[in-house]
Amino acid sequence: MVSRATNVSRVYGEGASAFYALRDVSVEFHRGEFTAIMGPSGSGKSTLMHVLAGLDAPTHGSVTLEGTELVGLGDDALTETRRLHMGFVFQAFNLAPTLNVLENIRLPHSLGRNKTAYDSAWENHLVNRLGLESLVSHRPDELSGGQQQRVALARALVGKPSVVFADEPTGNLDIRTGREVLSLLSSLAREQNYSVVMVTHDATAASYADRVLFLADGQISRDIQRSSPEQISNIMLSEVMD
Amino acid sequence: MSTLTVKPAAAQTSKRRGEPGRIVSRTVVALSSCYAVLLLTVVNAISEAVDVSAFGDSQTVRTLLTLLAICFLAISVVISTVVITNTYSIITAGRVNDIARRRLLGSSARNERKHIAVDGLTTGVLGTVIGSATGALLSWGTVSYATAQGFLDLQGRQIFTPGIAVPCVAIVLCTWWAAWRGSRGVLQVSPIQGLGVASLASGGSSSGQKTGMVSMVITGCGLVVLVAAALLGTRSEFAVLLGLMGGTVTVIGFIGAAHRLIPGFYKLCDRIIPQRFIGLLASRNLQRYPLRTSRASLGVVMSVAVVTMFVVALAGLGELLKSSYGGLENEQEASVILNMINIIVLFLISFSIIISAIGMCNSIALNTQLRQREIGLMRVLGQSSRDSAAVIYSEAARMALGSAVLGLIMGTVFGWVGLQSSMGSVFESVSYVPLSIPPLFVLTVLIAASVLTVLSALAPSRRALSVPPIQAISSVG
Repeated sequence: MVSRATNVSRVYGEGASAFYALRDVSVEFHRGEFTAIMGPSGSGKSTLMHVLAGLDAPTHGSVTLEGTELVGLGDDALTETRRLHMGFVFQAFNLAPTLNVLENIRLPHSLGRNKTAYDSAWENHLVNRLGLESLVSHRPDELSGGQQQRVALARALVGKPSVVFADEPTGNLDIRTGREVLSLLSSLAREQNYSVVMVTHDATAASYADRVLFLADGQISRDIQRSSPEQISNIMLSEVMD
Repeated sequence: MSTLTVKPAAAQTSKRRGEPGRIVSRTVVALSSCYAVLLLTVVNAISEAVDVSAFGDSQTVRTLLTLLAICFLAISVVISTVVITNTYSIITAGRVNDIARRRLLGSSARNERKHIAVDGLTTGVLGTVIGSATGALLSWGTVSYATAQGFLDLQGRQIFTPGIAVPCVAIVLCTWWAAWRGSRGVLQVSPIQGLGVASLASGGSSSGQKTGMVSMVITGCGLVVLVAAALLGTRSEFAVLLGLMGGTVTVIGFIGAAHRLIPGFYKLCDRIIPQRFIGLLASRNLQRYPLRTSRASLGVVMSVAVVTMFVVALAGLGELLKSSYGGLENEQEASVILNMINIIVLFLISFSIIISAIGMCNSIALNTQLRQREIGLMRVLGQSSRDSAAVIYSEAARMALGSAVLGLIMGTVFGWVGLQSSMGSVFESVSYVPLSIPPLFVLTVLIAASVLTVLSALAPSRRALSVPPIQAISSVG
């Protein structure tokens, strides 16, 4: 088990106007497993990801990464945990605009003031695997959306994280490029034995995952194994209809 | 740790966005019109007093003082115009989303720009009225105090002349123009951007590149004339006219090519000084928008250059006098006069220094605000909050210290050439005047630049770190 949330609640506001973004959620994520978190807007899926990544503190409950409790850790410790053990891929604005592709890939390492060891052979492998060889000295604004996401993927993986958090990673991509990014994400997860947690509301994207969690009103309503886009869409529809 | 209340914080930042630029612009306009009125009334008062006392040739004194006042006024108006242009252009860049949305709903680009120009005119008029009234009050107070104490005898002559209106009107027009020029970014906003997240392309258009080339050539010509003036200075004191011409041409060229020369100078400094990753990030940020960086720095470069020019020229003159009349009583007297001139120059340039410092602070504050999302991304990816602040400080230090050093270099060249062209032929024993740069002065300038660094980075870095990274990343624009 890599990441775990136990009885996590996240409440905004107080008293009568209190809003539960997460309500007593308990969930575990395992190595080599690609999990999609689905749910309508406002269901709490982004909040769950932020809490798991130590970017937001839960109001109640416990969050661990590789057995280490994240709740109550100071900002510096959380920052270091993110840098060393987590990878991030967002929908857009993933890359630092003033840095070239290679500098972006090395960004987390550089942000850590180069204190930890860096595996250049692994970086090389990723650059080749993701087809970025000819682009290493380009700036982000010279890249297509798909190329940018592949750079973000390389950056997320180069530090050999325990878990990669992906927030709508294909939201800005065309269908074919989106598929490409998703299959890379899932095959690399199995190869390298890290966990992927992806937030999405696209049923096709979720069908690439080994496991799909459904969130509604801040609670996990379903937890299913790999399914087809049709099955996932039907579950989504039935959730909304209820 | 991060018990964030998302909505109020977000509402606050969007509310804050329109205000700081406007307040800064009005303050800058008020300061520069206050300065104009103060300077002209004081010049009038001194001229009238000289006239009344029938001491010396009053017409020459008046002409000389007026010329000097016009020079310093021109410097301050140029600096404040540059600062205001920069403010409007950064604000426009920050409002791209708003503008795109309104364009989407049917507002024309011309209309959007007119909006900003009207705002500029209001700022110009309001600031000038407040500033000139304050200036008039200050000078009236000073003159009545001096009269009451018996330092000054005007015999009822007026210090307020209609001529004072000229710089005031000029300041209003310059502010208006600055708002118009600064809002040029509006033309690049297409309505379709209202549907997504919009940003402005960098300000280096192709026409800008061309004017940069022409201005660089002008700067080069000016420098050649300066060298010629220094050489000719060994033969004739009329070389000073050539030096004046060369200096003026160089400055005009430098202002025109500032968006290439100033960032270029910073790049050169990066090459010389080894840098770590934080420095690399800061330096890339400055190189990203060369026009903004140069506009933020130009005022500091110019004011430091002016002070340095006088300090270096007068220090050189002091040495020259010492070596020629060494040991005489006159030497003491001369050094008192030289120090007095230095103090007067510092007083005259003080408003420009304040205005350019405000401009630099404002530029860093607005730029940091626009980069909120990037800062959030860095924090998510593992940048410590200390390092995030360090990048902002490093950026401010590069600008403040870099422009101070550039100003010192330029001022030294101007000051030495000025002295050489006017004095190189006066003493038979000397053909090249000594180059004297008081180390204490250099130290003072560098300390002042360091203070400016801290002043300009303190609030922006605090504000940037007060926004939780996830909020910075998820908020649009």
